[in-house]
Amino acid sequence: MKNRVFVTVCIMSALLPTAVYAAGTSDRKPEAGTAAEVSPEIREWAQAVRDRFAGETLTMAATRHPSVDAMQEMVGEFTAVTGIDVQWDIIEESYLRNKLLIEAKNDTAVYDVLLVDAFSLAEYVPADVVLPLDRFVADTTLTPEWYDFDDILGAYRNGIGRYEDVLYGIPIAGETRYVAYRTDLFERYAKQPPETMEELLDLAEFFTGREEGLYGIAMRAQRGIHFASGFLTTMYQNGGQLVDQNTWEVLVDDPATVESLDYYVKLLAYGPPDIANYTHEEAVSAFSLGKTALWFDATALTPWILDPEKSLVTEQVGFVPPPEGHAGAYGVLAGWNIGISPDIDGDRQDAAWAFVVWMTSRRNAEEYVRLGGTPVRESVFRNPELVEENWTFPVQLESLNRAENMVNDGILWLAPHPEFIKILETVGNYGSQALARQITVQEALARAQQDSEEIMGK
Amino acid sequence: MRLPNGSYWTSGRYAAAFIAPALAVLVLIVVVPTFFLWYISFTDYQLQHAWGTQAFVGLDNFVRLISGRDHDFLPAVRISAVFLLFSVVVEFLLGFSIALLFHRRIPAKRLWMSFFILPMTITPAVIGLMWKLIYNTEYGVLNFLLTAARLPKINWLGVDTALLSVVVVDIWQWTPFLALMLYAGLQSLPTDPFESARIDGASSLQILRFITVPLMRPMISIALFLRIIDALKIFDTVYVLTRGGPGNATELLSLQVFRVGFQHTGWIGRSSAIAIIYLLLSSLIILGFARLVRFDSESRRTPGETV
Repeated sequence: MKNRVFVTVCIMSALLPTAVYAAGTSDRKPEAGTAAEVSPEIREWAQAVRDRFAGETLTMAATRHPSVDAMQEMVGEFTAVTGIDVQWDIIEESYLRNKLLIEAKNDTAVYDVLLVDAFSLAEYVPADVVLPLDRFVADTTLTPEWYDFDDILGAYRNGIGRYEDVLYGIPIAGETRYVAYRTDLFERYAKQPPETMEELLDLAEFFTGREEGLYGIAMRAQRGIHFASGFLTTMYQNGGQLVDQNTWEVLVDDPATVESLDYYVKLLAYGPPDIANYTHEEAVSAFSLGKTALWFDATALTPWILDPEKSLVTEQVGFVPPPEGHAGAYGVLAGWNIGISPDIDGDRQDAAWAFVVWMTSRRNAEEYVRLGGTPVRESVFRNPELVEENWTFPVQLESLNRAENMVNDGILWLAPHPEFIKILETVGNYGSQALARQITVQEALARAQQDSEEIMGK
Repeated sequence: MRLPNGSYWTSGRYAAAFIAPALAVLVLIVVVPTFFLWYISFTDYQLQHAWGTQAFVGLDNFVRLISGRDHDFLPAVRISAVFLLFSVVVEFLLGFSIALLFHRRIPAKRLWMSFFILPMTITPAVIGLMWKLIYNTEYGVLNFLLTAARLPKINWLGVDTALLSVVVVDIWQWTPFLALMLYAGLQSLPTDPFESARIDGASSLQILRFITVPLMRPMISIALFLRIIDALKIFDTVYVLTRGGPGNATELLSLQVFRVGFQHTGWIGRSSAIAIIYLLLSSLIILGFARLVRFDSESRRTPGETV
């Protein structure tokens, strides 16, 4: 008897997540006839969409993300205004990629709207997973004035949404990296926050051991992909490149890249002694616990530093954009788009575009951000009310402008090549050996060059 | 009916019929994949490339490893050997001492034992995470204790110390296993030899050296045997703790197989070659040890008979 109760409890607890999941993704029926309160500016567009597509159901393939959550909150109003119903298929991130590739290969047209990782565009575009969108943006009947495409930050428009000069996605989330510093320490020692990479190195050196238990900087440096990711945060400003993004020539052992890695290894020497095992989590913890004077990592981690439950430095922290190096004022860039499947017919594509317009328009951008969506529009970053709520917005905007500089100079943070991730892994392994002083920086990159050439060879 | 003398059921034909299904499964899940592994190790197959595009490259994958063209392979062999030797030897010495301690009458023995078994039952990945926090130089508990005792902080996962720290975690986790096995062995020993030795006035050390250890030999062999096999397979704890870093300070062969084969680089051919060599080395060690054990048990019998 006891046993049976136990088994039942087990089964129920196993099923519970499924039930919750099912409840979360169940269809929301369009509230027929409640389209009354449509504000005049969107009336014309709404009527046109409603006439053509009312009663249709779109399916979006997505993954869990705050921006997706925000869109799910906003979909009720979209349905009320346009009569288009939306279903969601929320899939785990790595499965999403595989699933989109498989669906595209078989032309299933199961999904209308897709969540598209910017880095995956290199793989998606040749596989016909995503539809070019320039045509929709240019069409004023489909894209009303209140959409304002150019308000989306240039870094995101061109660095996240475009691939080889064709627009494939509308950015809905993204991040860059910037520097956090301890205002109390900088005041005490009359220092200015870093503007150049040289100053960053000098400041890290200055603060190391300046007070008991204090180190210069926290970044990610664990062997492999983490080390590579940290290295890339500083590499482009310092003139280094892993591959030529036009010819795909491997530049890993290029003197400029060697010099850049040398810089990064020197910088990490001013970090905590076990920095060679740090991922982004240890790095942000170390800074949040007051162990380092500086931190250089992802903007997306800002809430951690400003959360009083996790951080001891919430009141003594300032942020500055990524310092300028001799190669330029650059910033890194990663992000997500929503795109449209090319396998659905032209009419459905227009309906899908109506959904994209609603979710990413300037008109709805403030609501989107208030619901937890990641800001991607200049108007949001400059919105005084939002800036008051999040005082890091102006610095983030400036950092994103630096990210745009890099895009405009024809460099993407993660080179759009399917093999690039392998090169990162390789550089991260040998780089970690250089950091541990098992081999020199020169040797590390010579070995990484050899492996990378093999990777790109086949 | 030949049942009474039993040979009906034990005759070769029937025995073969009964063994056949198990054998077939074994061939399917062990022998076939092993041959496949051998085949792959002679090709340049990569994870992301379509099956059929791989080219036969002969011994190139192996030559690359042994000649040192692959800079990380020979260090990994050394690191694996150091790890195996240190962890198993220390675990054995500690485990045997603890078993002897448990063998005496000590208060609350059961309670101690249940505490003792805990590390063994924790998932390795969790252990990796746990020790990563414990070892952290800035907010780890070990350095906190050192600082409280006014001692300098230690960089537990530094390039020179990381391997030792990984060995310590393994010792922490697996000493209880050896202690339990050996304790069970001690419990099963006959009591007469010990009594007569004590009557003859042998010291504790002499009893240990000349009675306990020889009688325990079979148990010790099996316990060590299992431990060696397990230690050769370690992966998860180290992967979570260091990913083989810093540099390649803790890259055991098992981690290297994974890194080369699956962690983004996807060189299955080269990874298989490492796996093959790893397999050969492991077999050699295990066979060698098995030989040693048999030799021991025979040599033990011979003097016993002459005395």
